[in-house]
Amino acid sequence: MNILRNQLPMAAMLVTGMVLTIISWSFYRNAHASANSAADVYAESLRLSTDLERFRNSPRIASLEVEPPDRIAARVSAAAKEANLSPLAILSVDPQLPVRVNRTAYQIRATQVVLQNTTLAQIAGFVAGLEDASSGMIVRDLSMNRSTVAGENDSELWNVRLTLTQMIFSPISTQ
Amino acid sequence: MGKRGILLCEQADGWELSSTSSTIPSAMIDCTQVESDRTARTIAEATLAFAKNNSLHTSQMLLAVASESVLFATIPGTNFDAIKTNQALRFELESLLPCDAEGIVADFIEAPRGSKQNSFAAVALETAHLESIVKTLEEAQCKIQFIVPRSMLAFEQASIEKLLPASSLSLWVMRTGSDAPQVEILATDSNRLPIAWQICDLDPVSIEQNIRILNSDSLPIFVVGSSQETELLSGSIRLEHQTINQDSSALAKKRAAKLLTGGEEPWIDLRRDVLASQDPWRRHRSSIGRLTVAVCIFFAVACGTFLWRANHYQSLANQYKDKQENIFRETFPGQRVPAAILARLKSEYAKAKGVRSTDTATDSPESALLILRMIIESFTKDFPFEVLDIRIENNRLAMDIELSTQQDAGKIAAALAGQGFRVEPPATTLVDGDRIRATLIGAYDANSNNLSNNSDNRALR
Repeated sequence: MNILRNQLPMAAMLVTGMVLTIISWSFYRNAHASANSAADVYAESLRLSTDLERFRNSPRIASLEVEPPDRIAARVSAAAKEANLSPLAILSVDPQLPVRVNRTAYQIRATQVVLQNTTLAQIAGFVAGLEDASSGMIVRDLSMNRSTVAGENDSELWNVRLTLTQMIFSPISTQ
Repeated sequence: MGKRGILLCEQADGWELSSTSSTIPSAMIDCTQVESDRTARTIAEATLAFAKNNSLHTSQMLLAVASESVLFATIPGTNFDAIKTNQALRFELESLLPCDAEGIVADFIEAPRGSKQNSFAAVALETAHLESIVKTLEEAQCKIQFIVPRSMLAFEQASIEKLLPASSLSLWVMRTGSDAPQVEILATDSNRLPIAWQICDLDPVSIEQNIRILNSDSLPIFVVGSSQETELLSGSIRLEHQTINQDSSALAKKRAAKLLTGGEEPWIDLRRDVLASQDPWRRHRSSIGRLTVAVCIFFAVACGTFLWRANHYQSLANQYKDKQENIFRETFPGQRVPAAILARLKSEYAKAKGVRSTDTATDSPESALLILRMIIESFTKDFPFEVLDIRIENNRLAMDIELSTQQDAGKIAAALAGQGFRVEPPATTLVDGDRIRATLIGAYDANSNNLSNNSDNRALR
């Protein structure tokens, strides 16, 4: 017992020193891992930021959300007004459900619009009014037939069937 | 200045306490029954008091037993390694000495490394003689470093100081307490190590008989002791001899002081087995202490280094975090910096890549308006023609026109190709006898023509 009692301070010192060393080593290891992780995260953030800046200078090709039906009707009306199209010239507006493009992260929503007896300038104005790059809206398909009716000053009139397409970025969830 | 140790010497009539310092007078402990626990307690109490009164350290203590208490034997043979272990030595001594191997502790004198040794001397001590004293002293925090036969300390010091020549026979007058002095006869070999050790009374007949028994090789004889002692002994022997005036007690004390200073081992150390059971690491305690201090210093340095490096890395991590926050602020000005910046950046990157990147998994269609514009730009006024029908579907073109000659259809196809269309050779049909109807089919290759990026939709208005 005496021996144990005599050696106790020495043993306590050793154990305390060992424990403190282990604790400080643990601090060191965590800090080292933390610094490495922070460096990696910083490098990744820098890369992402650079790419984001690059993307900002690129044109939009898709929207992030599906345009609601009332907005489509409003868009058609506004485009018709801008193109000086009579409401009677718009025979139909037919929005369809979004469908996924193969197995990509994109969906396409098509809206078919049928016009009758319109001039070429009205067609161009109407299509330009419909298209909106910020929301991924373009007129992808355009079918024009000569109308049997002649316009003012015997100008050409066209019957038109166009497809307004909205590209929507909608990634498939992996969870 | 080193610590002054305590020397506890067994005398014929009790125990004597002295210090390795010559300035401190010795003190006798009055006890007769050393085996009893009471006597052991008396010795322990006296030792503590002696240490306290003389400012001595009880951690440096040497216990010198009387020569009468030990047994000496010379083990012949050169098979030294076979009985080198202490246990084997005890059983070897059992056949040479009147003792029980289980009841003794023993040690032997080893020749210096490299020297020839034909036999070696061993010393045994009955454990019962000292067990209770050692145990009681240890309980009283007295740290006994060595247990050595008292005379052996003097012999050892004489050997170290080369007072005696190698291979000699020496006669030592030893006073143990108040009893009559005794003569101890010591024979040494060429290494100045004991090969024979005998105690006899200060009687000329007895001395000469023992000398004749021990001195078969006619070794030179020396008488060692103080001047009074040597005179006393010289008158008692008729054999030729030389005299060396050295006090054996002073030699023993000198050797004890050297041993307690540390770093050296005595020839014989009986502080082992039962007599050292309380502290098996006693011999290495100072080394262990130094090692412990070194290890503690190492731990302290390691702790400091680890914490310093940890602080450095933590600072680096904070710097990277600040830089990352700055990147976010530059990328998204005016927005609150979120906790998970990287996750937010990844999310925004995925969105931006999906919305704006051109290298995505799907081909983005061109606007039909741009294609229509390029079709119209390809029309020429060099010859009359009439467009009947235009169909643009996902960058593909089909157009029906009426014109005068088939060559004109080819010219229009060439003009379309000039605008970036891949046009198939036009199919023509004669209608109404004089008109040619041509169908032009082609596809717009956006990658081969970048005019679309520069086109202005308003041109068609």
